[in-house]
Amino acid sequence: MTVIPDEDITRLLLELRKGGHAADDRLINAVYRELRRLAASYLRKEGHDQSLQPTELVHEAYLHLNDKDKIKWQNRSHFFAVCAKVMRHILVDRARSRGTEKRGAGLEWVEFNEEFLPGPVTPEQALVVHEALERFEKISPRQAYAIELRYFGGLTNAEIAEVIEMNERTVKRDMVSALAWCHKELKPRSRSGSTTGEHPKL
Amino acid sequence: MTPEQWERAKDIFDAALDLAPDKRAAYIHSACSNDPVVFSEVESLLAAHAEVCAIRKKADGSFLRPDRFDLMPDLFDPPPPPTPSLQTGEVISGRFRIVRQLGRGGMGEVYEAHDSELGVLVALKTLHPEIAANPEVLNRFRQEVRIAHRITHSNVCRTFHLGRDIAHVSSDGSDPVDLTFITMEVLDGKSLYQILKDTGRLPLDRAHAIAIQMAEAIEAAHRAGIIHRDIKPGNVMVCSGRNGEGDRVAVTDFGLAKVDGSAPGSDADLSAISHPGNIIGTPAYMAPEQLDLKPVSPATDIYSFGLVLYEMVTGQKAFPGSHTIGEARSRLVEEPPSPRAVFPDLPAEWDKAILSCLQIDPADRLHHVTDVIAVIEGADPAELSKSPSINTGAPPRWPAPQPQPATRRRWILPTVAILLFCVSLSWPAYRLYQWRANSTVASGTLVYLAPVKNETGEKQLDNITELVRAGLSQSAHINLLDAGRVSEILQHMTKSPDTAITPEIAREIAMRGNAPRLITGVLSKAGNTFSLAFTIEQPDNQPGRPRHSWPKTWTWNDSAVDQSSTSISPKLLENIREASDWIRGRVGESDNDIVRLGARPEDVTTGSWEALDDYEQALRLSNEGRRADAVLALQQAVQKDPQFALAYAMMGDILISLRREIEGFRAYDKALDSGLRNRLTRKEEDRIRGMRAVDTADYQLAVDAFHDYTINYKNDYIGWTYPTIPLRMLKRDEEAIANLKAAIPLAPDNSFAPHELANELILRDRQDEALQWVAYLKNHNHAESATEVEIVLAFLNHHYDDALRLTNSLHNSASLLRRSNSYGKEAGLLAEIGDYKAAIKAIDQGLVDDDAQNNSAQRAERLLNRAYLEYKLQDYSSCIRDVDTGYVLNPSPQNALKVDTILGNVYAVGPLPITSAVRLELRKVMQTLPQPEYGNLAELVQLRTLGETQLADHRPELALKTFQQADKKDELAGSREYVGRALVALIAKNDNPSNSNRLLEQAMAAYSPIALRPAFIWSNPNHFLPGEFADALSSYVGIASQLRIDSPEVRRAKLNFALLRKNQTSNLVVRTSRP
Repeated sequence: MTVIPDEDITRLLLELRKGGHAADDRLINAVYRELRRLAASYLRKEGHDQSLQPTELVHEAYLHLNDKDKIKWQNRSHFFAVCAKVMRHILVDRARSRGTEKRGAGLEWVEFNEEFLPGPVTPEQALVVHEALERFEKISPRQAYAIELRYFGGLTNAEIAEVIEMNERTVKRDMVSALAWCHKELKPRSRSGSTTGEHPKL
Repeated sequence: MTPEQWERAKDIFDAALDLAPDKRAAYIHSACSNDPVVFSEVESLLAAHAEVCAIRKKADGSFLRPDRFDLMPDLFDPPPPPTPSLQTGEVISGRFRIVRQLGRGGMGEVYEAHDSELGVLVALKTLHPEIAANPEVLNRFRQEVRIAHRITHSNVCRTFHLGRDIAHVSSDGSDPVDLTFITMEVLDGKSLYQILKDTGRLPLDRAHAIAIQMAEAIEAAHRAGIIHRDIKPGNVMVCSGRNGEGDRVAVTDFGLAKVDGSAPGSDADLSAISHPGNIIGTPAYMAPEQLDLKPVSPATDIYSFGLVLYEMVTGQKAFPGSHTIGEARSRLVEEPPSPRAVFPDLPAEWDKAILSCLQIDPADRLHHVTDVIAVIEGADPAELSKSPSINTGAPPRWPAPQPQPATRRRWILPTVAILLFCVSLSWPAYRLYQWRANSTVASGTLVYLAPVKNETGEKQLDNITELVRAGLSQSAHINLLDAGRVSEILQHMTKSPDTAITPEIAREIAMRGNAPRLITGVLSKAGNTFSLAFTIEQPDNQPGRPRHSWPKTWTWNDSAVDQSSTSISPKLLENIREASDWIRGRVGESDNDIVRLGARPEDVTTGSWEALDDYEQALRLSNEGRRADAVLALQQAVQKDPQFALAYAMMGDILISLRREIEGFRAYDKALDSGLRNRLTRKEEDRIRGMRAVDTADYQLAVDAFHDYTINYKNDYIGWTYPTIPLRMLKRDEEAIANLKAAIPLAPDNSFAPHELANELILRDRQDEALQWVAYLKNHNHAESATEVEIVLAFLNHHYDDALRLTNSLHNSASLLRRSNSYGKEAGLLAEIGDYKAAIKAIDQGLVDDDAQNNSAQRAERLLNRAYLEYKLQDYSSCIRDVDTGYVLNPSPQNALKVDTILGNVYAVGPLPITSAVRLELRKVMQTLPQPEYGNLAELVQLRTLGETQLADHRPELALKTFQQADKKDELAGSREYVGRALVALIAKNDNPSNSNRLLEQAMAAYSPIALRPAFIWSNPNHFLPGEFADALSSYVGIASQLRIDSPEVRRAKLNFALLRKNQTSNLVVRTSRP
């Protein structure tokens, strides 16, 4: 089974600390373990279509960890921020371990509603979003982060605002163009923005 | 995209979202003017945003309801209007009977209604109940009516009545509602905004006529103490005059007008809706004092009037890119722009008149709007400004102004601006209009682009049509009438293909071609000023004139044109691109698609005049059927511009149609070469990838490429019809049928899709349906194409004489290709029924015809066909000779496969001395095998030839293994005759009865794809040797008899064979040993 490489966890911590938030390995690992456990149990279910609801999962993890480990987070938002990153790793790892480097097989257009909270997400879809976000990170890291928080963690605008320390209005504003960017990027055979190179054929 | 570019794109996108949707395009155009990357990014973001909004409307909005859409006031993204839609015949306030709806806006709806009290038609404008509930808006509405009532002038849109119908009960029985409405006169015409957008610059006499009437309206308002404050093209309506009168101009929307509070008859309550300190008006047409929040005066309207004049005579805005207040503020300091800088031929009077309106200081401007007209007509502005308040020198058509000594003082008032929110509540006036005609067309509509006429006298400019075509053919919205169809139509009109296309002929072509729109263009030149005029026409039922037309002209100055230069002027290219974008937009294509599928014409054709000239020549030659000459012209073109990918693509098409596959592949590969690929439009690239894959027998790849094509160009029949053969070969006939059915409505006059559909239906044993498409072909003037299908049907139903008679009728076809193919078809039919000698005669006739056409590839094909017939007649030496000559003439992969089949069969039955000749020939084929770059087909040829060589070396077990590999490379639906032959050879060699039955069964299966599908060889006759069906059937039936198999299939095959070869019994396939 694939695990988050250590350097990724370190990077995660550094990122959180840079933002002035206290987080330690124990917490991250706890989150990671919990989310993995939840994800695995969901995906193991018989007749399951290999899709997950990240938001549900994150909420469930939150309830569980809060209850069981008595982990004290600065606040909910930061917990979710960590969850979003971990969730992204889990889904992408899963897609890659299933050999879905070659995208396309049976994969339809990833369609988002305005919340950018998809319904069930398959690891394949997550991989596509992940790769789009990697491209977006190159041109607008802040917006890419906001989308990550929304898509993989289900954070609301207010929560995102808290995590990235911007006012909520700016986040709202950012969301509109970020969402439009993602939408066009994830459309099938989109040719616009050709400077970003080859786009996955969805 | 760099982070900086993204930052800019994001800012512009955000700002655009704050604008009303119809203002966005203009705004981003100016805001990103110098960066196409940013521009296209913003455009695609906006398009994506619109799609997201659409998804949002569909979504149920479950949990975590977003808060971000609060940012977008519903004014810009209006919810479905709650106003009751009034029904025809409904009566409002017991007085206005609804005739029909004229339009719908953000605030309500507009109807045409009959006023029973006055007995006239009126426009009735309703307000959404929740908007009417806002007292400010209601007051604003009321003010508009009051102000309009104070001005009675034929050039001011008349407003009659502000009414409320309390608890109006709609005729559909829904709940009663309070209805607020105003009635005004029905204006039947177009706004000046629309006219300028459609046609560009106006001729001076028309501009003059409109200016006079505008001036009269504004003057009338000023005299009544009213300043309009929002004079702009959108508020000027131009209605076509009746009975030979000139246009009638009406100034609309006094909704922002300002009344002098101290003027007699003014209403005190108007101040109640004032919001001091706000700016009102439209930034692009605001006077400096409005921008500066300084007092407004009649001079304010004069300034805006000057801007409108400027735009009428130049076709451009005086201050482009001033869509926001911030941008517009530049005019507070900048010198007023001279219209002559844009249009050097503008008479000095116009220039003077416009400049004297555009002075920054209101005091420096002309004092009366009528003075502006006087200056245009030759008066001296200095003289006019001497009479500051009253214009005594007005032309006689003006009623003498009443002396109003206090007037000037009264204008100077504290700034009190009336503004509600930040959005103009004025309704786009054109919504009040009955649209008589609309240039947009449904997606997939056929459009005929007539050759652009060159009136410049510069010969090299003759070829700009192809540049325009390069832009238009990228459209995902329209399909251009193709050149082949145009020459067919010309033939029907009994005109030669090089007839000069006059507007009348162009209209007739469009009418005959069922193209609902026609595009004509003229390029002309006066001095250094070039004009490119395009007109979109809707053809009428006679070619004399169009039913409707939408013209627009682009003018530019190109002094730097070097006539000896071979490269095309950038300014010309830029204007051609704009024109082609305009046409695409005007026929209804989305801005997003225009940008997304909008490679520059010179990028996807050539920047060299000489190369373009050769290309045009090639097009012409190809349309005349002179395909070999067209190839020569294209070779010239790519010599002059080695990057001319489209020329390579066309060369590939023609070469392959000439059966010069190897050269054809080379041309395609050149076009798809990594260096040139980006010089192809998306459409061309997908098409060539598909064609290339079809021709190298890589059928799955071909299907994929054409699938990609349909994603962008779902309205183009090519993407649906071209994968027919690949799908057929992949045994996906039902998909092919569905695709073809989708294609036919897209190009109803094109014979290709209905012809192939009939073929497919025949393959699926649905002859009745196929007959319907035969009738369709006949009804669409494709009698010969219908005949070709009928030949197949006659053959399948064993009416061999009919089939031959029909085939012979095609020997006289006007189409060279059809005529040439008809000999091959005749030979095929004769060979199937066993008359090999007659078949050879038919081929010899064809060879005479090929000589006349100098078509060596066709000749090679015939020689190979003849060789097969000679083998059947046991004339082995002639057979080997024809194989040798034919293959040398055109060593294409397809021919190599045929050679393999012929030689293999000769070896199997030929006398010993011939078998060494067979080995020799096979070795020659091995040496000339196509290179691996021919992909799947090359591999297949290699395996086939190797297998035949192994057979000839008397090693059938090895040959079988090789052929089994070839079988995997070969088309799924195609012949496996070679496998059958190897199996039979193996049985003969081993003579082992224990497994020979099993091997025989396998051999029978190998013959079955052709033997059991008599229609198959006719669906692609060039692939097969004459008589191949009968031979496969004979082998199949022979083996079945030997194995004593009696199934319905075998019985049917036996019956078929009996009918085909009346006096012949089937081959006894297996001989125990070689002679």
